[in-house]
Formats: sequence, C-alpha cells, structure tokens
Amino acid sequence: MKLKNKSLFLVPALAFAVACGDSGQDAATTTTSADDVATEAIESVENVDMEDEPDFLIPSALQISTIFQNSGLTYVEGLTNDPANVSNYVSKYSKMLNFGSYTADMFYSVLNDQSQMSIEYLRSIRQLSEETGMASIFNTGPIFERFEQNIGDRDSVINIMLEFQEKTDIYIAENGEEHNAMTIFTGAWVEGMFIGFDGLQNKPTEELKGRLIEQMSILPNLIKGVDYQPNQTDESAKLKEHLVGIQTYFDGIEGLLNKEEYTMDLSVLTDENINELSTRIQEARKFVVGS
Amino acid sequence: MKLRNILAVAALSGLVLMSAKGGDEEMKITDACKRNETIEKVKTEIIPFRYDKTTTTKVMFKGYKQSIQVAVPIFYDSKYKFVINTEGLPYGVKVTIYDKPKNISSSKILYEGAEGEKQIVFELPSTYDRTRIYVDYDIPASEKADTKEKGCIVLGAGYENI
Repeated sequence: MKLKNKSLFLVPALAFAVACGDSGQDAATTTTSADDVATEAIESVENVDMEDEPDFLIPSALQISTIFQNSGLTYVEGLTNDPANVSNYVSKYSKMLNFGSYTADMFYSVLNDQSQMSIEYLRSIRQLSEETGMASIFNTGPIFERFEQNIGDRDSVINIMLEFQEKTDIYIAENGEEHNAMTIFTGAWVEGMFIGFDGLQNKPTEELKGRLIEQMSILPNLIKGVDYQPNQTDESAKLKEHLVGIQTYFDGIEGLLNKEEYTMDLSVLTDENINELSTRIQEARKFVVGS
Repeated sequence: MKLRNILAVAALSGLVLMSAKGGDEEMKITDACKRNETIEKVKTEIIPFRYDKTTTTKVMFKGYKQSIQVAVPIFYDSKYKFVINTEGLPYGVKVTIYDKPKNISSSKILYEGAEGEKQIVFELPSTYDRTRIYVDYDIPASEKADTKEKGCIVLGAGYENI
C-alpha cells in the first residue's frame, strides 16, 4: 500500500511556531532609543542563518489524536502516563515535555469517552501550567470547571479543548516562548506515537500504519526544535539523541528514501522495521515520562 | 600650524558630540498587530470547517523587501481550509501558496493572492498528495526611515475530519 502522500520534501523547516512576541491586543505606537535598535540589530545578525528556512506551523495534538482515532485506534487501559506522575517532574524542561504528554493522553481519553481520566489529565496539566509560569492559560477563564461540567458532551468538551489549545498558543505567542511550544508538542508527539504504535502492534491495520508513518514527516522539525532551545541541557541532549535515533533508523529503511524525498511506500516496511521503530519510540517515551 | 591643529580637533570633537546626541534620539515604533481581534475574524471565516489553530507571524518592516515563508504540515485524507488575515500590517502584502519551497525550481503555485488583499481563504482538497504547503508572504519595504514599523499576519487552519 502506498500513501497518497508519495513524497516529503526534506527541507529542514525552522521548528518554531511563528508567533507574535508582543501583546498584540491593540495597534500601538511606542518609542525606543537608538540603543534598543542596536540590540535588536545584533540579535538579527545572530539569527541570520535561520532566515532562509521556512518557519514551521506546529500541528495540533488534537488533530493528530483524531487522525489516529479515525484509523481504528482503540482505548487500552493503563497505557497512558499516570496522572499521579505529575509530581515526579522536577526540571522545567521535563514539566514542559509532560505538559505535552498529558495533553496527548487527555485527547486520547476524551476521544475514547474516558471521562474521569480526562479530568485527571487536565488537572495534571493545570498543575504543570502553574509550575511553569503558564497559569494564565487556566486563569483567564473557567476552562477546568467547564470541562468538568460538560464531560458527558463530547462535542462541547472538544470545543473546550480547542479553547485550551488556543489559550496555550496565545500565552506562548504573547510571551515569546515559541521554543516551549515546540517542547510541549514534542512531548505530545512522542506520547501519541507511543499509543499509536502500541495499537498497531496489538491490532495491525494498513490504515493505522500509514497514519503513523505519515507522522514521521514531522520528526525532522522536532529535532530542529530541540536545537533551537535557548538553554541546552543534558535532558534536551538526551531527548535529541532519542529523536535522531528514530529518524536515522527511519531514513535507513531501504526503499523509503529516494534522493531527498521519502517514497512513503508502506510496502517496503517489514515487520522488523515496525518493531524497531516501535521500540525506539518506546525508549523515547520512557525518557519523556520517566517510566 | 598649531592653530590649524586646534581647529581640526575642535571640529572633530563637535562631530563626535553631534553623533552622540543623534544616538540618544528616540525612534518611534508603531505596531499595527491586533492579534486577538484578528484571530476572532479568522475563526469566524473557518466555519463550517472545524477550527484547529492559528499561528501569528510577527513582521518587522525594514528598508528593503522581505520574504517570509511558513511550512504547514498536511495530513492526507484531511480537507483543509486556511484563512490568512493581513489586517495587522501597515502595508499590503502579497500571499502566495506553494507545494514546495518557492526557491525550488519545480515548486508549483497553489494559490496566488492579490497584493494588499486583507483576508485570504484557501481550501486544500483532500486529494492533495504532499505533506506540506508553503505559505509565502512578500513584505514590502518600510516607507518611514524614522520609524520601526511592526505588524503581524494571522494564519488560521481548519479541517473536516472530526
């Protein structure tokens, strides 16, 4: 089976969501001194090597969860990250990554009508938002309360999740924290792929396989996202190692990469390839969630 | 000879002082970005597709033309609707959407907007067979030398498969 997407052009897109760094509430006129201008000019020079690369629009974790769900992914109890693990995350980086992993778990739970788990995940996300200085995501409106009240109404809950996603995006944009947006999404992506590959192992379908392989097209952007973190740490280096390991293995599958483009020909993927990809994603996930 | 040297030093000092004074002068900054208001307009236009998310591109105008490109991941079998709003800019821009980065010779134009168009709506059919589209903004040069002009473009995405 071949995916409809036959190719992926491998231009290394800048792995940041493009977002306004200012408040953006109203058009404004301010003044600045020549010194401020000089500082910005220096920053521009430092960033010059990034200018030729396109910015990257981070996809929504909800859309990816929905795609997997529509491909026959079923709910497996106990598979997701335990909401109680929230207190295990100490560094800001691991909190951001697991803000993402819990977001993926929450979407997975909501789409599978797991009401109580959904609420617990949102509670963990709220805790992480408070611990990472992003409490305003929940403080600007009663998202948590509305989520609880509407938990039986799937469409309403999805709308609230979209609102949550939007508030997160706006917070990130207004505070110039695009690198954190990428970290959060990376956590969500790893968790989503872990759930997806588990589903594929338990109930293999060509549809789900195609959808999982399709998601691999995002991986180069995630790797670049780690590179653009302003504070490189052992944690970010380790995460990059996992992601690069997955990418390197994927690119090495014979028949999948032709010159600069993926063929996305699923027929070249053996069971061994799927098992190896699954193992590597499990390892990355273990690193992210810590268990 | 001595007098000439004194005059030269005095003239040079004057120039230095004038430069220093110029460095302290304040430069006006204008920001035409109205993010929240624009996002609401974009969300309204996305209907009846399922609104997914927006992304805001910050634009700092310069004394020369610029080109900014945003890569948008596309998942197959999804029908997408994109709304691009440029009202948060002091000048009109041109929006062009490609299937590959525009500097690739084989790239094809999927959509070409008129210069200065304020809100662009583009629907991508589910039959589209690539994993990205590239949204390109042609940004004109600033016309004001004494002002730093800022603005933003909001790109909203919606899809049909929920």
